[in-house]
Amino acid sequence: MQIYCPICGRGYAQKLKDTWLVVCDTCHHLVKGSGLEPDQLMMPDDWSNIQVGTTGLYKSQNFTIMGRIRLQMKNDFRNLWCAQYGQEIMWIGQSLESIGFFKPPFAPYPHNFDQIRAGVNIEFSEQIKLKCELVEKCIEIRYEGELSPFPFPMGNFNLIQASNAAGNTVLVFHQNENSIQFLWGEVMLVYGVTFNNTKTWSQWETK
Amino acid sequence: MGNEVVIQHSCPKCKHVTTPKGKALTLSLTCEKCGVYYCVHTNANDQFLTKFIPALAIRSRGKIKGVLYEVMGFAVKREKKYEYQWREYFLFNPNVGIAFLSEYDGNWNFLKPYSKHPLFVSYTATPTIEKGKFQLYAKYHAEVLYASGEFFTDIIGSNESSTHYEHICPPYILNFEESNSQLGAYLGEYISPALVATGFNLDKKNLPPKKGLGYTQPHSFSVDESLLLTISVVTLLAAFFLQWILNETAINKKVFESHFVQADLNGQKMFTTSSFQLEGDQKNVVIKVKAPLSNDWFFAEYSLINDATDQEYIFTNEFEYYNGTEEGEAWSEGSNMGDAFLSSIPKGKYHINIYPEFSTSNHEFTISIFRDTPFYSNFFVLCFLLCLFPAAFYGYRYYREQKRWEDSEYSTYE
Repeated sequence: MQIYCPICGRGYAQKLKDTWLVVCDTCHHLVKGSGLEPDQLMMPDDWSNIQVGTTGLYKSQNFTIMGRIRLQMKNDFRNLWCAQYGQEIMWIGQSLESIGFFKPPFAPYPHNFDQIRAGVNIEFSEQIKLKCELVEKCIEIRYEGELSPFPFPMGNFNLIQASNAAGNTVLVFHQNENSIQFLWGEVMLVYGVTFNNTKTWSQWETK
Repeated sequence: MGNEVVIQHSCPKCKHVTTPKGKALTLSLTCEKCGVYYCVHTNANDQFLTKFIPALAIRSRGKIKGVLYEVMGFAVKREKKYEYQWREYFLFNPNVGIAFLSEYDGNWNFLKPYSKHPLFVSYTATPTIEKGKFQLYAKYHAEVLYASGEFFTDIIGSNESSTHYEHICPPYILNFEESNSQLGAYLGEYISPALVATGFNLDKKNLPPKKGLGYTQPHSFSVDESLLLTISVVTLLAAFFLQWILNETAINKKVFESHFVQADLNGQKMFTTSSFQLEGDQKNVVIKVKAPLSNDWFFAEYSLINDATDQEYIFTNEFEYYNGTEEGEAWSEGSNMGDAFLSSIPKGKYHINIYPEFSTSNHEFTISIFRDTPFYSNFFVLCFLLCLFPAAFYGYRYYREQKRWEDSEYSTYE
């Protein structure tokens, strides 16, 4: 379906099966969706070489980055890239050094959440224990591109990331006791993944 | 992409506006004008009491391990308990990520984030990774004495709330930082001041002077320990085998024996033995002398002479034997036998001139001459020399390791 920016008139063809938000790439206005502040639609540059339109391969299937949610914490950040993955949606969580692929959609967090802090283990099952490595309040959230529904659009949540040596990882979004969602996935070093159509920083090249 | 969002921050003190080089990654910085440190997403700010000059200038670029990095920030940190200080340079290249150069007493380490630190899984005092088995060198809390430039974290807040674990396996270092909100890990390696200077196109004299052995500095010479042990053991076994062969093949033949009595001198100064034959070329000769001594001594000078060539081999020998009873217990000292060893004596017919010195109580002696006897002195010298290098190596290494660990409260060295 073709939709148009109400400010600049630029046309967009919705590609995701459950598009929740479209931000105009030209004038940073909402093309689809509502309730967000204008500042939240201004995506800052953070030297990420992934961008909307970047493609890649995960588990033998192509994906295309459609949009980004940038979560700013006091001491860290996460880019949550929304990707078209075949007929499905995949979230890709990127930090400075690691990248996580989250195929299952957002789901209510089913485990005990008491006394979570960095360094403690989260027991997902008898076989799967994850060590909590990040517990930070999201203090700023920004959007760009086309996105699937995100459960906490205003960003007032704590972000928890926990992983294990087997590469399992979980991103938990904790707003309050009754509102905890999580993404389950696989984490790896960002430099081990090949992306195409990325930004390059030629002024830093060494050759 | 569309029009870019320009990121700028205003100093909370002087309102000077800075455009950070790290863009949205920069979470804290110091004001270029007034030097105040502030966080961009919180109200935290700090004014440092002392200013430190970085050896690597902020925003200068240098190549480390073939990668071009820019110096984004500089921090001086102090361990809270023992109050030693070190300096950290925060480096960045968007194509490869962040890195750190850490300098203490002119010794440098280059560190990068490392997500496979075993402490991410569970605590261990000796984390083992592909680089080796690491030992805990320091566990500490740090404070930031000074910072300038930009950082991708609140270095004051995050440092002061974190416990730091430093494990080493020279030349490597593993750092782990743990706070209530974050875990972080870094793997580093010792880097020589010369490489730092070359990488940043600086004169080495402009870097802090190097003092002592860096705690991750590799030894100035290294030896493959297993190779050293293998060579030593194999050579020792070969020496044992060679000695066994020499023993088995030695003839050890008595070629002469005679008894001499002082009265037979008849006023002369020497005895002359009859001639005897020494077989086999360049073999040793052992002369054994025996005298019935009791609280006495015997000395003689000998001259082994080739009958055909008059080639002379002169040697002396002295032995003494004392015994008695003291407080009801018998004691003795010395021996009533002595011997002399002559190596590489050519074959031929020989005799010996003996110039004895008799005491007042002993007036006789017996001499026996043996050809090609087994002997061990060369073997023992060889064994000593074979053990000398490994012993010196391990001694040197122990000394250097002791020096390396002398600042650590986790040292296992005395």
